[in-house]
Amino acid sequence: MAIAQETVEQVASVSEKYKYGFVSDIEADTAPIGLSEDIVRFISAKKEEPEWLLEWRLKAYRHWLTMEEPEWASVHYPKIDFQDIYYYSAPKVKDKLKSLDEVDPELLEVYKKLGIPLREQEVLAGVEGAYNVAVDAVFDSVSVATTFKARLEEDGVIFCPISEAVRDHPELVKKYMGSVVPYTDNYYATLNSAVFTDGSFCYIPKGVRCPMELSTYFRINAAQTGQFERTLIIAEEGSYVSYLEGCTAPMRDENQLHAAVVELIIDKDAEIKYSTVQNWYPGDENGIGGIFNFVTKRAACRGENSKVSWTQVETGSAITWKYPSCILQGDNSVGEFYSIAITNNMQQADTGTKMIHLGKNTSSTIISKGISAGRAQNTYRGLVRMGRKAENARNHTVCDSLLIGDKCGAHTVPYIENQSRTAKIEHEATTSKVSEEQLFYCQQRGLTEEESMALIVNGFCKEVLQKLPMEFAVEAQKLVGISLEGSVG
Amino acid sequence: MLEIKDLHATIGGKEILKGITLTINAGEIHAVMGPNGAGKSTLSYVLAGRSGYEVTSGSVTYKGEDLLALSPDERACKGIFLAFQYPVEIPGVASATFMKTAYNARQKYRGEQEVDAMEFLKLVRVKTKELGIKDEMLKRAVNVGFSGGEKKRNEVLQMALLEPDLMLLDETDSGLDIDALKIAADGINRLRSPERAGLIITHYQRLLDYIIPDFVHVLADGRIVKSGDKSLALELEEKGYAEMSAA
Amino acid sequence: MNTLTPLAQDYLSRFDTAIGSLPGHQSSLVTTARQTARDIFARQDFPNKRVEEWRFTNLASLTKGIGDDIAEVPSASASIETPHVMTFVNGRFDAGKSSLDGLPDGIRLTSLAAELDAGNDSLINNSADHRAVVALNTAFMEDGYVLDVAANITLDQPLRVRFVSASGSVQNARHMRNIIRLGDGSSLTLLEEHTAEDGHSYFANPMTDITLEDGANFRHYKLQDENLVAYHLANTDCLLKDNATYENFSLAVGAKLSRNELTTTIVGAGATSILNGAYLMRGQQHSDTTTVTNHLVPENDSRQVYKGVLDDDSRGVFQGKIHIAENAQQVSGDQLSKALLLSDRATMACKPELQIYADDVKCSHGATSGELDEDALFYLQSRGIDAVTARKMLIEAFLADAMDEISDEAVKVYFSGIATAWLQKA
Repeated sequence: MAIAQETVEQVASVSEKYKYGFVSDIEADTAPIGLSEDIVRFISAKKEEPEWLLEWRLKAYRHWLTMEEPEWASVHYPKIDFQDIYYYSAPKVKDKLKSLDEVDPELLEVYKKLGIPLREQEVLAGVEGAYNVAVDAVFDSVSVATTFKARLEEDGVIFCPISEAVRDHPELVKKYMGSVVPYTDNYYATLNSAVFTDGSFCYIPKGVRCPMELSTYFRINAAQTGQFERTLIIAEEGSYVSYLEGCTAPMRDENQLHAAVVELIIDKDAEIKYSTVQNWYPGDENGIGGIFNFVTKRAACRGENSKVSWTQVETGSAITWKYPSCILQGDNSVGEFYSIAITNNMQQADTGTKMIHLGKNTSSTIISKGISAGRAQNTYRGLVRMGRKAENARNHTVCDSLLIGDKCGAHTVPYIENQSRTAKIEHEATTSKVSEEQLFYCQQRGLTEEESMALIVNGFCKEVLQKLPMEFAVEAQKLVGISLEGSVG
Repeated sequence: MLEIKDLHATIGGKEILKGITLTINAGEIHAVMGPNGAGKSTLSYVLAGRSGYEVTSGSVTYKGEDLLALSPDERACKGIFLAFQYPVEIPGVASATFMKTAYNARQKYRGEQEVDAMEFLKLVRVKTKELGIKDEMLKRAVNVGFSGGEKKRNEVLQMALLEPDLMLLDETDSGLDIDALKIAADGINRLRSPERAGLIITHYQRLLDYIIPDFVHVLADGRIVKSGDKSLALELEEKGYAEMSAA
Repeated sequence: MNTLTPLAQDYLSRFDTAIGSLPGHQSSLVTTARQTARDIFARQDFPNKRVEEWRFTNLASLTKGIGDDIAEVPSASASIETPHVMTFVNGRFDAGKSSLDGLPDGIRLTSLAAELDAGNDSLINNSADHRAVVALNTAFMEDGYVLDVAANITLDQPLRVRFVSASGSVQNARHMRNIIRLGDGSSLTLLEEHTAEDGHSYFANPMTDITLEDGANFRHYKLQDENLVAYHLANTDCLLKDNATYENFSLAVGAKLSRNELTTTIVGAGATSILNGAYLMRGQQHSDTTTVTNHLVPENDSRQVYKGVLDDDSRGVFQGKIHIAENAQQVSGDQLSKALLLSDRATMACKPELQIYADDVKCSHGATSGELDEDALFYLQSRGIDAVTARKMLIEAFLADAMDEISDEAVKVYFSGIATAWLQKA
């Protein structure tokens, strides 16, 4: 399927700069501002959590107090005042919901505006080109709706808000949460461990191929609120799931913090395909406002022949700091990282991956496409490590950077460590610009300069765009064009 | 259709075109011949609106409108097509996507119905058949890995598809063997009509055996030094540029 | 504050006494430079693994104090004949082992200690370099060579400078400061060798400062063949002006732990920086190659090819940063690092880095790490070549890419000979 096909029309059809920038007037139930042990207890109580989880949160919180904010990334921002953030904000619920039909119509309206199908009926009836995907909608701090749960349960697939999983499947949560990203891992992951409010939980039992794509849609709505979600996906032996996440936020002139943790556990012969289209509000052209996106994502390929594939399209956020990683422990396990990071105006992105090869015959592929425009800074930072026992392990990395304009920066910082004689590591990186000739050639054929740019950039990103599930690919291509608006001329 | 009056143009401060005056009416094919460095390619780039070429004086009127005030894409949408001497490679963008996008840009500009992928494929298949181009080429990235001949044929294909009013052919014959040349010329001749005009820029008169021009101009050192009909091209071939320019 | 490492404490406690007898002590300019550098070093100590630039090279075995290890004295495996030789023994110029007669007019090759004692203190620029290892050198520099070449001088045969560690050494550290300046349009080749005739452990800390004026062409070849218990931490800085060309090739086979750090700064259009090298390590050896290439103005090029062969428990490190400043348009920077692991215990760490602030540039880096190609090995064997020979052939072929970049024929033969001899010992 030719992916770049519709790009130009789509770019032309979207006139707004950031069309998800609206604020919805939803009454919220909010915790007092600031962070303390009391807030941690408050969140835990709100969630009616068991004692062990509260203890875990408190351990994380106490550890966090001893940590220092990391400074090694190539990003610059004013110091975050962690006492000036609301750690819990949930849309007010009148009564306990029995079914989706009872979801606050205002909320349904929000998701409709975002183009997210929450009503199963509509989906099943094929309304508005809706596709077959189960959605968990996370609004500020809580999950407001999860679709297709019953259908999924028929196959034994559990897909629900993580707070619900804590209640209904504590043995699974207790066993796996923190097993890939321990609460001591890093500053933001530790903070998340203390104050996480919701997120998605997926469990695919042995031998099951998840019958539909699972998707979580994250929305920050309330002002001054941080979003700290936690996602946990477990793929048992021989199972398969494709999971998608999308994110948007209103345009505000303040910076909002998003510090998520995602843990994936992949057993023997299982596979997780994890796709992200990150479109948090990037701030305006002067760098005012926008989301600080500090995320820890890690997959543990524990079993033989397990496979994980991260695909990300990062176009939003004022600052992106994320390194979706793969621990390739099982023999023959496979890790993939496909990334497009676009920064325009004053955006900064420091993103990449870690491929830790521990097992025999493990292999990894990294394809990173960084596009920098305006006054933006775009850094690829990645680690490939071959452990002593990673016999015949393979890595192939390609990092390409594209610069648009002479005020932006593109940086590549790979770390490559090889302790295995029989391992083979290949890394290549290039930096180039969109040539005048290419632009002129497209313009000569009738495209405007911006359309030409969108077309060429989509071509540059094609390898990665092709890795996205169809529905996301279309959205992602549009984003590529929109994100670069104002970058030429 | 096209009226060039005393056109002067510079690149990086250096004057290349030193006063060109040329009128092309609908239905006419003009050939501009000249030695290397005469300013032939510059003329085509200035007409198509490439940046870096500064028009210092003179005017160009196209269909009664100031051509120089238009952006390159506007010119294209208004019917000017430049077949490049060196078609540009665009990695990752499939030829079919590229052409469909260009086709629809024009449709939209003219307020006409845009076509979807299926319709477009039908359209383009007619043209590829006429020009003896393999459909497989449509799937490949624009000009990437194309041979010199394939690139030129791809240019002619795009032209056939976009049906311009004014065709600018910049050294379309270079790098083509005789069979490819015939196919290209055939493609161009198909487009000849009383409503269309063409400007063929060439170093050799070879192409003019297949596309018979109505007028031939000799360009030397940024000026048209001699104009005539088809016979001028033959005379030029015989005597060489040096003698003709001196005349 | 953490306490300083024992070696740093030792240096700092000796500084006040030492400064009175080090060359240039009569000059206040030199003294101030030494004191400033001492302060910089005291604030930082030797770099530890928390310093980003040193994350792959651990100096702990050095900084706890240079031990009493004794290595076998290596025998020279290849030789080269050059008309002009300057020799330093245990960190001091040795006129008796040098032959500097007959240098063409316009070429001055002298000893830094002699220059400083003669009052030529303007050689030392007083800019406070923040690098700890360089600061240590400035504080304790004792000698080195000063090469000053006038404009438009061409010398075809290489000049040779030898730094030899010999027996009878009282001190076990050598802080050599070398200063090179090539005038407009001059062209010259220099071969710099660091070798040992004695098996005691020592710490070599050379710092070389190069300025290439417009159109100068400098071919700088370095052999690091210190004994196998020695430490070698070298810095070379090169400033390139318009149309200057700097070609550096560094061959490292020696030392227990070595780091060759090259910083080139291009401030001229049309300039070219070429940094190549090979390192052949075995046993417990550690070799670190760190390059920083700064393109500060438009229209110039840099390229690099480094090849490493790592056997036994050895460790290779390559860090290469290409920095292109804002407005430094039309620059190209290419870099390639390849490492061959011959043993299951050998390790390689690599950090090729691009830092780009201009859009009209072409930059690339490539890095590979792996073992010998089994298919190629089998192919050679199937033609009747025994496995050992086949391996050597393939390793030589692997190195050839880099070796072929040496434009001086005599040096290329010399270095290839050293590499071949190294392979024979396997």
